[in-house]
Amino acid sequence: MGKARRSPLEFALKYGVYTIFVVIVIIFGLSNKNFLSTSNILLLLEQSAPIMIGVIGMTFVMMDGGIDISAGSNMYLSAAVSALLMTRMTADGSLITSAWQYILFMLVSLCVGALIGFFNGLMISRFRIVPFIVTLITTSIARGLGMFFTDMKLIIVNNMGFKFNDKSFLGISLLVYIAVALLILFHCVLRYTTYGCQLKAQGNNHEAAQKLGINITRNTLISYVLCGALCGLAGIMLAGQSGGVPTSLAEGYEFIIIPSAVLGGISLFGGKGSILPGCIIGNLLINTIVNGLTMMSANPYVYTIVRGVIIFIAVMVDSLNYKGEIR
Amino acid sequence: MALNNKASYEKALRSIRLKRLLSDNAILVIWVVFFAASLLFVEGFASAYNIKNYLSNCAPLLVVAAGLTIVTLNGGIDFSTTSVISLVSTITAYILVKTALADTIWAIIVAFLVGLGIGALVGVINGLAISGLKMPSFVATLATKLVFSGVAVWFGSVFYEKVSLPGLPAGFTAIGGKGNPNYWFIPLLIALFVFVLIEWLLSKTVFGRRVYAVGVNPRTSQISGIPVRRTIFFEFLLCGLLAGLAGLMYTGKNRAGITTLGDDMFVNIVGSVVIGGTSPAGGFGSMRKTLYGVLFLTLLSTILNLLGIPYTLYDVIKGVFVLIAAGLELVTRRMNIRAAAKAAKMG
Repeated sequence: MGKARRSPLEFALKYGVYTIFVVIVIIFGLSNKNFLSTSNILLLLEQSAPIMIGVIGMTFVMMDGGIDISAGSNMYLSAAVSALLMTRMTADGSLITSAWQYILFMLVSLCVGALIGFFNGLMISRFRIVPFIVTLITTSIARGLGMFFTDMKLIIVNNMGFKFNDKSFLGISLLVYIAVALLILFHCVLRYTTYGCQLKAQGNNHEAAQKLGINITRNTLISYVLCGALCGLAGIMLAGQSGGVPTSLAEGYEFIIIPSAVLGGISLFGGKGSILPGCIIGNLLINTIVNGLTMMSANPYVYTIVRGVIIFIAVMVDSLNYKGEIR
Repeated sequence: MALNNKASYEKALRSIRLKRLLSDNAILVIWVVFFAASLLFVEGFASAYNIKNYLSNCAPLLVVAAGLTIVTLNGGIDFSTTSVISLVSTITAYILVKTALADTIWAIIVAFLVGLGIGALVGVINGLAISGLKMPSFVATLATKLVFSGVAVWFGSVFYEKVSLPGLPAGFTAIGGKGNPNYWFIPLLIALFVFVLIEWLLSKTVFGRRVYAVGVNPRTSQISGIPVRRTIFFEFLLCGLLAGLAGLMYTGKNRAGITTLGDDMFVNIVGSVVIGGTSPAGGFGSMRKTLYGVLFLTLLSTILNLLGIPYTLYDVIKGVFVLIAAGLELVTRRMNIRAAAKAAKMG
């Protein structure tokens, strides 16, 4: 459980991630000339942006001591529903051009995501079913529903005019601006609002928080809805970025999002960490490793193994300080 | 007055027993109803071929779900079972077909030992990570799942150059019920053996008592002198071993090594445990319940298949059932606790 006093290990963890990040950047930078080019760095940021938004949501859930394995499938279902709406609206051959349409589709995706999050939250906070079981089941439900709705077909959204590739300001993709804005917004929500403080308190000790009069059921529910909504938004951004919604969209992204948060210092046991700079550094580290491996043209099957090892190490370090029950 | 009290006490006890009997066997009743209904109304269900198929689908699932039951009783979970199945399938098929041993009896023996060994190895890693390093089981096993399913696919891509390797010898496929003489009963015997073994282990041995005790309250168990860490370690070891055995059975059943064999299985595995009525929060449940869960979930898959429901909806429907079961388990357990408290107050 969280302690006010900072142990040497915690200190090492906090700055260890930065050290590893710098070392990895230097290694990849030396082994490949293009790695540190401006275009690659911008690409890295652009690729990280949607996942970063998912990490923000996951932070809220993890702050409460929960977990949302359904993040990846949630992204897929939200993007698929939004993309289906797009095909309906552009059936007459028109293109999606105005900003309002973009906002509409992003809102639709966000709402679908929020709905899934609400379902998760309801099951977890009201019916008290263990988070990893509920979200595991919603993972398969969401992906199954998405595949059913889309008839297992790839929906190409770029052809309908929905794309983020050409939307940039000062050379930086629009996605990055959205991600940064959300990061700042939710950092403030977690840090300065009553809700954020209560969430952090209950994450440290649910029983004590309840005795203090904090409505833990409501706060848990809100955290899952937030996570779902942000994942939904991330889903449509991913679709716009990659050009389409294949049935494998965001498959396994929960395994990037969860370790990103853990590496950023957000404890799996709840109540610890913050969005800035935690969310950014963890996610950038993982994306840098994947990007670097791609540039070194490693066997693509190795990525899964590398991801698994990263999760394992990150969680291992997180658990070293833990003194509660083992499950 | 005292007599009256005693009578009402016994009445309360009877109502508890009835409720417990119902809640313990609810899924069995539902299974019987479903089974009877599908015998009558689902075309193609009431044939010897289909029933045989149904039973042989249950067998390997029961073996892997048995392992997960033990882990779930402790409030943990083991995601890596699916990766064990994939990895066992990949590597045993390689041993059976591509090594120098191929086509000898030694290949089959080595393949068996390697299959169980892989399961045990993953179990040991999980067990050490969870009991030694105090990692929460759902993340530790997620990580090992990623690593080992990655290794399986990588191994396949390097040594098979495709995702599956057919042509396994008949001596091996017998374990999955396939082969030239009709071996369909062999997986059923294995499953029965595993069922009896785990049922005995959980209900009649010290280890079983410890599993329940640790599942209900680890801290109290620790104080009472139960070796909590060792118990948890052996739970995961057993789970890995059984997953390895199930991997061998699935490989034999498919008559090929498939690098992604276990990928879509997890909902089935965890679903059988939870639908049976074993609490995901730990401490309540039994091997018998998992048997009911396996029977029910496999029946559901068979019916969905025969009715021609789109494949994409299978997991959705199963998922809904799992969530309903998990919710019901909680409600009935609360009811039982309340009734017991009431009876205790009277007595």
